[in-house]
Amino acid sequence: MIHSEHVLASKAKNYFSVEQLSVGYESRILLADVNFHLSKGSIGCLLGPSGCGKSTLLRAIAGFEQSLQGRIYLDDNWLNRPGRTVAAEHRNIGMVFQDYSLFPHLSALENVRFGLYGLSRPNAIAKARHWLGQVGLANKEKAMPHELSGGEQQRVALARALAPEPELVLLDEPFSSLDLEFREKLSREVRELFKASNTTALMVTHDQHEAFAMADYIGVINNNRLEQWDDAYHVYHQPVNQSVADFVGQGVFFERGNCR
Amino acid sequence: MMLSTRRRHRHLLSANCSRHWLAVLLVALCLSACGKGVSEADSPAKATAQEALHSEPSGSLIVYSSRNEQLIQPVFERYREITGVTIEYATDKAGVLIERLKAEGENTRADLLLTVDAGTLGFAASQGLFQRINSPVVNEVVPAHLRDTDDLWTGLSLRARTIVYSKERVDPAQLSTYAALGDPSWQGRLCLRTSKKVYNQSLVAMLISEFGEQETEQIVQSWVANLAIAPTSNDTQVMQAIINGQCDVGLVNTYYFGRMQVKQPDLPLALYWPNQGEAEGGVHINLSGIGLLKHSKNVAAAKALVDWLVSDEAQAIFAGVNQEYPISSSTTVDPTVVAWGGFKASEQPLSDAYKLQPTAVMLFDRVGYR
Amino acid sequence: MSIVSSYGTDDQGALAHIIRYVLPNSLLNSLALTAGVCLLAGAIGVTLAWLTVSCEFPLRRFFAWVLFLPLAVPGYVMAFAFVGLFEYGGSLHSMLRHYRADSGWLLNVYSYGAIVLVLSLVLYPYVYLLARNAFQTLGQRSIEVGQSLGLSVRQSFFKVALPMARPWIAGGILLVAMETLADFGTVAVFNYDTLTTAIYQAWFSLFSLSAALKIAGILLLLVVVVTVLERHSRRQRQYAEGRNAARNTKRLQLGFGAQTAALLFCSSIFMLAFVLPLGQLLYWALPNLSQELTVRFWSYVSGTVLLATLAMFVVVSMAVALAFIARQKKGLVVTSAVRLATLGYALPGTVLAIGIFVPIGYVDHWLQSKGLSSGLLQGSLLVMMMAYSVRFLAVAYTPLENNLLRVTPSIDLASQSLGVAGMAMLRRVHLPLLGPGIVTAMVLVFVDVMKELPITLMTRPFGFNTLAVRVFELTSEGMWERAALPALAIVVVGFLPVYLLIRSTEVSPSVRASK
Repeated sequence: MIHSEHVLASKAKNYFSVEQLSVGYESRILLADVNFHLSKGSIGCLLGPSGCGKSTLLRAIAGFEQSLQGRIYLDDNWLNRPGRTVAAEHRNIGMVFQDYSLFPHLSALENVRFGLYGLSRPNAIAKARHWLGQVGLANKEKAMPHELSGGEQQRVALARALAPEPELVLLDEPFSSLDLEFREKLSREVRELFKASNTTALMVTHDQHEAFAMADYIGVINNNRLEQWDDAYHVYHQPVNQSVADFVGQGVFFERGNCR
Repeated sequence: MMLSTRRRHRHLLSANCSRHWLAVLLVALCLSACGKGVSEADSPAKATAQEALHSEPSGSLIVYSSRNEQLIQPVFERYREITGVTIEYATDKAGVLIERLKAEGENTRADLLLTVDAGTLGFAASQGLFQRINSPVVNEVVPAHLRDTDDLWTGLSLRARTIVYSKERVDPAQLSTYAALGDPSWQGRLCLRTSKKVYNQSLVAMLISEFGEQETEQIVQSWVANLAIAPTSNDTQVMQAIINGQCDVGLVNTYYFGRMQVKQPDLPLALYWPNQGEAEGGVHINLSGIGLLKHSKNVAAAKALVDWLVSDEAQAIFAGVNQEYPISSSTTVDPTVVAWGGFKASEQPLSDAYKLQPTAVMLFDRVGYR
Repeated sequence: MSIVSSYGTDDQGALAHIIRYVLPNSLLNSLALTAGVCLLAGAIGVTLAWLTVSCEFPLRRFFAWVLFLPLAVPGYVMAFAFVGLFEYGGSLHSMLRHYRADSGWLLNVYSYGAIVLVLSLVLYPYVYLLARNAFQTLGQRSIEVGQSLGLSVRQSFFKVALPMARPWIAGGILLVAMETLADFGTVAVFNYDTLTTAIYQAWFSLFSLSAALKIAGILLLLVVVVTVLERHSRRQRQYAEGRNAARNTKRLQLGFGAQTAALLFCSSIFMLAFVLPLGQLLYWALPNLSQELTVRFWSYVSGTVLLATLAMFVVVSMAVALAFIARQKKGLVVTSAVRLATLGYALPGTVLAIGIFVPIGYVDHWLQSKGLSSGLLQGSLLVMMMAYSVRFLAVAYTPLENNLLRVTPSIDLASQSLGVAGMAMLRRVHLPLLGPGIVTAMVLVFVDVMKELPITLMTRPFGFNTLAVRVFELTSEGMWERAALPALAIVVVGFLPVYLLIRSTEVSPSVRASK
């Protein structure tokens, strides 16, 4: 029995839904039949080894990549269904890249302002200042990207993604190039920021510490599929199978998993 | 009186009536030609040009020219003054202009092609670019061997390629023919311009038709053996090298010598006319000339311009501006040129010069004349 | 190649002759000349770049910019100025003899060495430009890395800085090699036989187009080999671009001896490449000033500026478009097409000009047959711009490509995720990032078009003249003295864009430094 799109999308709990999504290439499917939901203002995290298609999944959600099949809904609207897709720039999804990808020719403030083209100049500047303040960089607004430290570039990238108030923020291994101590501090800060602004976010990581520090919901990806999607408590205490248990329970870095 | 002077002039440069050479001084010609009024000469040209214009759609003509702008602009400007016809021109190397005309085909806007070498005109004719000029004026004024045998082009001015020598170190009695420059007595005393210039190719083409390829190859080889310095890139440098004492003799076009003489009247150089003996063929002459393009859209106007170009007034400017010999024997010759004296010119028809040009070039490569 | 044969089949003799008597010598000469010029121009360019970017010595800033100026001197002008200076009876010989000094030691201006020197002096700015770019990005840091590993400054230069800068240097040398192979004007002044002169001989003296095309084929083959070599070294450029490599303005303090040497080297190159030739031109130009400085002269100047400006916009726009197509669609076909499109730089101008005229002739005939009068061929600007584009695309493309490499693909994605895509992304992200590259490309095209001769001669509208055309008209009649003023004017007109270029590379925004 096929649900009508409205029935599925209108459930308040399912602000953001991914249904039966497959990503990869025709010749090599990276992830098959992925299903999960996020409610408004919650933070999800996809956890799994590198090279298993997590980033590809994220890019498909962002619209940078075509999915092979399945549907994506965001706030009552479909983004993606067989044969049709909404262009990345029209999805209203913000993204923080692994390498931050700041515009090297623009200052910190100008980077944050970049996506605020709908506002008048003073309003846009005021709003960009606000978000730069939110990430603690009010004093760095004139700095050029190369003059900022790695952590500061990360914060600018975050502010840039949040400033246009997207319906969803995607984060691709956002803390991977920071050192361990700083990573935990920043992940706590980011979680507080998201909660304070009621931002819905989905992040991808291979570090379970990061996942548990940040997320309300965690999905474990292994063996080319999403093996479990649940809240953090249940993933930790009631793993659905041995591989999830091994990984989460022993707290082992999950660098080399089982994916073809 | 006018007619008789004309006839005498023609004898001098063309020597087309007999095998005997005439040593008539150009000074005399100059004096007789000077008496003529200018207004007499230009009124008929003016009339024909204007008539032609009335019957043609365009008030302007387009000339492709390998003769440089500064040497054609004054004469075209004068034409505009007297007829109101504007002449536009594109200057480039002859080979390129011919390729361009071939690419443009029947859509070309050009009416006439002007070059500075009979060989290139012959080649353009062989490529089917021209139509017959069919002008009684040209046929009357220009000696037959300075026109194409098929009437596809006509010469406009003449220059001789001759020997230049140092007045300080050379007794002209030592000089005789082009071939004699290969004599061992000139070892290390000869300067030549690069073989890539068409002027040298045409000169040697003349020698080939006179002596045959083998003998000419020996002549050129003996020249190369006598070279004092590597071939220069232009004629002026040949004369400069003689002035500097690097060599004593060389081969130049007369107008280069004329230009230098105008600037430095006390030039320590002089021209020598070689091959003046019985059966020695005469001085190598070449010409700048013009052909009427097959796809010209203004044939009548173009013909009117050609007719005017061989008139005395045009000739005085065209040849005078470059110290050349006018094609029409009735024209006043520049005093600088007159002072070089008269000579017997080669009578070889210039129409087929281009056919021997590749032979000459290959010969140069074989003997290592760069 | 679009040039099609329209001659008879009487080409066998010509071809056999060329293979036996012309080709061996001209091929050898071309190879020797290209090798010599690449080496000398490369050495001069790299040394000057290193000195002016990474070392501190008196007048450094002055030299940093005046050493660009020879970029505005056309090769044929440098050549005839050198002949005027150094030939027996030329200015320097006469001066020395006037003071009864020996002049036998002066450079023999008709030697291989002299031609290599002249071409190197006009072409080294390409290497200088790109090597400066490289050293500015990674200069000081690379030395520090070397020092931290226990190398001396000199060892660090040869073992770290130079290898890291190699892709840029190779890019500059490629341009030098292509210019040298295609050169006609300069070698003609010295009567030096190369493949290019052999093409001219076969075509215009032996009347054999097919032989000319075969030589052009060999020439192109050489260019392809050089290009592949350059590609090979460029592959490693990505690693050379250190992430977040902040631009370092700290320079090495040289000792007194080294300072003197640096000063001496910079001054002697500046003297040879600029002061001496310009002095000779001035010496010729002054007595002829009244003859040449007419109303027409100013029309040559304005014509030159107009043409170069127009060509600059057209060619650089095309190069930008090409760069983006190549960026969006990576793949062998596109990459090869881009390579092919930039090969025109290595073709002798006349060959290229005629090669463009022929297909346009066909189009014109075809339009005519459809009852349309296109007027395409009438020395129109359109044809001119097409020809310039084919010829100078490589010049515009090289600096753009260098800058485009700095724009990582995720920058595009970042822009898209913020709702900025398509033309808006081009305008707001790509063009600003390409800024310095675009300025460089525009200046190089402007200066090159200004110096260009065969295409300008063949395709200019009637009555439209440039300074280069004027120089040609006068020098082809051996009137070098009179040609000196327009030649000087080419150099002077070139000053402004070259100055702008220096400004843009000297005061570079952060773009250069970060990735």
